[in-house]
Amino acid sequence: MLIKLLGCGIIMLCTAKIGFDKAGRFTRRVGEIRELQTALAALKGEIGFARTPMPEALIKTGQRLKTAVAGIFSASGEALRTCDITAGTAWETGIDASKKDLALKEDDIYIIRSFGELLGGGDVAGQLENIDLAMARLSVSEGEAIEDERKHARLYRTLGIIGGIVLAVIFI
Amino acid sequence: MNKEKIIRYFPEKLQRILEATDLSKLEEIRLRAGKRCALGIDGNNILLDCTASQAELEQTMQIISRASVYAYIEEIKNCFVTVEGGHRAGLCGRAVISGGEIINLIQISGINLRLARQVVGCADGVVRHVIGGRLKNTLIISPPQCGKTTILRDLARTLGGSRRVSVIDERGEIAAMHAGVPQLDVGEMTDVLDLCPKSVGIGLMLRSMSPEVVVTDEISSGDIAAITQALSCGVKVIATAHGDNFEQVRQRLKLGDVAGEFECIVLLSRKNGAGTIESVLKADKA
Repeated sequence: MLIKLLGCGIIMLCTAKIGFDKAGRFTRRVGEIRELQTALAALKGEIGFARTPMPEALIKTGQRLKTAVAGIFSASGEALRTCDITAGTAWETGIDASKKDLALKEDDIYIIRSFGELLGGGDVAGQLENIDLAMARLSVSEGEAIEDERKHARLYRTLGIIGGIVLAVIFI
Repeated sequence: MNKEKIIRYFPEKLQRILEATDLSKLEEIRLRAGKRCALGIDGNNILLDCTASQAELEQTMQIISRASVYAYIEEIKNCFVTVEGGHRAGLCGRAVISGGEIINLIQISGINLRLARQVVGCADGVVRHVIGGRLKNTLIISPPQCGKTTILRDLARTLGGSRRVSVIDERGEIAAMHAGVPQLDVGEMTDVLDLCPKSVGIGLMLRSMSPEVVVTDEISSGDIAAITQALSCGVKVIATAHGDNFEQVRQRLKLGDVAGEFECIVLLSRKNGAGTIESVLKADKA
């Protein structure tokens, strides 16, 4: 009986963790979108005011960030600094290197990939417009992410706990 | 010349050709959209079996400008970018004009990477005339392509070893600044004001860097007031000017009283190759 109870406890903990992890992705997605917006605002300053060359601008922006979003900026900046590639290729490298750690949805990734297509190619005005466009699109994504979090985060947490209880009852 | 550093800017297919080519006498690499790439080797134009597309020129432009056109826009407006090593990529494309001034160059149609070669010691024959006794205000005169800038750079390097030298490098050809660092040796005690018009820059450097010598390239009549200001501060001026002889330069640049201030006039030619010292005229004021 003791073993059964211990097993049920482990099952409940596992299902609850799965539920909380799933719910956490919704919360992390909101955080990452917000950090992307902050990062783009910082990049805007580096390009618009400081005229910092792109490799250093991306690396400096990455250093200011806390979430997995930092990896996109750091990896792409480092790729641009060390390899003779275009900013678009470096940006793709950064996204691919960080994607597994991100909670962003494909739609969000599509926005930042599109942003990379025009990165580094034009004058200040063109670069700032590209940043503004990406920020506007991320703002829409942020609204959707908040709504998704509101709808689904609690659902997954509850499902995780209830699922564990149901499985435990079946086993007992 | 570091071959690896030069060829890395170009499309892979061209890189492969360049890797297999003797580049010891290479002077320039030219890309034109839709046309065969060309090399300038020892004064000859050599067309390669390799065509560059416009997209490849844009890609090359991005790599040359480190994906930071906005950071090099002042150079790009003047149709060039200085890259690491002091080499200069000349650019051709469609000019974007605003208010009568070029503000950008887009749709790049031609790139010409000209290799910078510093000739250390090429001014040795001039130095003794410029410094002999005391430092003299010097004007180096020659037609184009006779090595004025190369001699001027070497003079700056020599003088900058022991004196406070300010270089006003309006066209970025003397020091070939890249990311704030001179790519060519202009002397240990030399300060460089990059891409600034001489008429403004000379006054700025007089106030900010307190130089003993001002060095500048290809002066025009619009720069004479600034040169007069430097001379009146007791600062020595070493400059170059296009021309065949001093009299022609004096009239064309309307040197006026400033003409008498130049105590050493160096005339160059290509008689025995660029940088041949034709004559040195000295008007000792002491």
